[in-house]
Amino acid sequence: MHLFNGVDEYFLMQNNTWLAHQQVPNFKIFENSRCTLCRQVNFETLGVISISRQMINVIPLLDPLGPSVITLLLDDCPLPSKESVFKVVNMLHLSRDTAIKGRLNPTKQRNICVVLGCIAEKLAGPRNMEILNDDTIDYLLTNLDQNTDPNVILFSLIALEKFAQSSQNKILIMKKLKEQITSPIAELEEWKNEKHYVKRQVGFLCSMVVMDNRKYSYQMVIMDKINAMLNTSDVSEYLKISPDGLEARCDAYSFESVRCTAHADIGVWYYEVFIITPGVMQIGWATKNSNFLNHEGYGIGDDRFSLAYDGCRKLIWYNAKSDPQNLPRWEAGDVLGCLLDLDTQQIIFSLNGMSLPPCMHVFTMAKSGFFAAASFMSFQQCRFNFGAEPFRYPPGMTYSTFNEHGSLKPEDKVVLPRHIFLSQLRQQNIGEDSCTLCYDQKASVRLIPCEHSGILCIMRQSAVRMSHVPSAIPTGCRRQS
Amino acid sequence: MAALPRRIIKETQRLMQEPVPGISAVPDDSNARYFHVIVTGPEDSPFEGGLFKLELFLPEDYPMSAPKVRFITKIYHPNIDRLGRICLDILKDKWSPALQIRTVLLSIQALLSAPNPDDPLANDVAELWKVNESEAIRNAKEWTRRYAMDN
Repeated sequence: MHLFNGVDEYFLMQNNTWLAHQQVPNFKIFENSRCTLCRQVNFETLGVISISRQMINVIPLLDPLGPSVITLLLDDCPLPSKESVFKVVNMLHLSRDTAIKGRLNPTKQRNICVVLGCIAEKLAGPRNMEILNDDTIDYLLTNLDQNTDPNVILFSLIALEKFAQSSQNKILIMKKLKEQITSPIAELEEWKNEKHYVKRQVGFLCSMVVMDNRKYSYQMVIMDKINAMLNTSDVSEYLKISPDGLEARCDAYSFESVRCTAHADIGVWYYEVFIITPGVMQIGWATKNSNFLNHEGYGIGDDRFSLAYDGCRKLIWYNAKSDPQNLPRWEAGDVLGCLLDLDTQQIIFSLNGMSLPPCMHVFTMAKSGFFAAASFMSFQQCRFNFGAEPFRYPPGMTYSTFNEHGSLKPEDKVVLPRHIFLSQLRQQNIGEDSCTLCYDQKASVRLIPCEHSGILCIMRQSAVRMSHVPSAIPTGCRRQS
Repeated sequence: MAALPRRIIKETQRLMQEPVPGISAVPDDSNARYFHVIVTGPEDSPFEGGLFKLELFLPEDYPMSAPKVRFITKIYHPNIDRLGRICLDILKDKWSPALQIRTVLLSIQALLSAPNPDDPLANDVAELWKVNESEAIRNAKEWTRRYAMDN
């Protein structure tokens, strides 16, 4: 369950003090407190400005939920006017100089970058370009220097990525990057195997950057030993998946989910997840019946066909209801173990080898067809081990792994960069004789009494019987029937 | 990148090959279900001369449920509120899977030509539209000039 969609936590700033994630007993209070914070100011001009200012100064660097909270609160504001966005940007006095001077205060710079990313995402198109002027680009690119705090580098990259969603900005950013003597992106990509978890995230993001002067990372990974991975055809739209298919990250403000390629029907199964960011992720098991409602804030553990653990809030989730657990909050570097025992019908999570009590709820709805699955809040990242590497905390019983039982065709092991994937899709040839509703099959149904054919396929013919879809039938037919 | 339904691919291809006059709908680089839309204000309406940005999102079960559409450019219209949400029957209970992105956007453009203050979303705007139509139209023209002409 996404943060602001649930019952359990809220965020409040009083007298400029940060009161982080407190438990709130009932939904009403939660609703009200959130509203007071967001509605006490006049949004037309003041809202975004005062909220940005407060948050930039107040959100601590190390709180695992800090950046997500900035994103969620700003996302909750109505669309700001052009003037108020300019006021925010002017207030920040961005330039190369502020980036260098700001190195002494990484907390503030990190928060500024988060706010810039939100603004970039909110304002697509021409306004986006006005904000990304030379000073803003200089500020963000100067932040990519390795002497900057890695947290600031990370969120500068994310802000640049969000600005680059409009194509003119992308051209501008690429041009500025090429003017530099050495490419900061190539240098920072070296960080992808770092022990420092924030640096590692920077490396991950840089390995995803598409630049025309280098090979794509997916063409360079060795996939021989990989027989199970995250399924690039079974994932919500904004989740990023690493070229080797085992690491995932979300930078959107939706609640992104993914399932793996293989599933379990009988016996005992185990996989491990290496926690890279300590924020909200719901990791566990799901059948195909579990839906990814990323924009509504529902993910794994939020319906009757999945069960998950969130080690940030220390909650087991099933059917969008949570059950508090008595364990320390997870940290970067921790290992979550996910054990599925279909013989005794229980799921047992463990954190660094410490087991949680078994969960049984999900088995009333499903007995087989379980996939490893996870949901990610904004700025969260983790790495899956389906058995290709030795486990850190193997369970003390006989078990199977997806990597040992799974099989993947070579073409299914390729994680294409999204723009290549989409442009290949768009070139597909779809026949004009297809069903006009689904385009999956030939339009083979003849409508009676009008004798019209070539409109619908068998699968979709029920659509014309639904009373609320009269216009599925051509106008001429409606008159006759 | 969940598998993209062929229906969405086909509609996208058609929108690119045979664009609708006065409307541009371009899919996002990284999300094939999200479209950046620009609708030109219809002639002989208070919105004439304006370029209105909208966002359009195709939900998971499209075309069995309607696209989600919202104005990004501010607009003074009785059926569009200050968050850009649109009150239009085909986006709600009158949706049909035979409708398309193209027909939805044409309907929205038509709504600009024919505001309906009896089924309001923005109450203050609708009220003025009923009580003093000429002043409401003046406001709509002013907002169009201020917010929809600077690009």
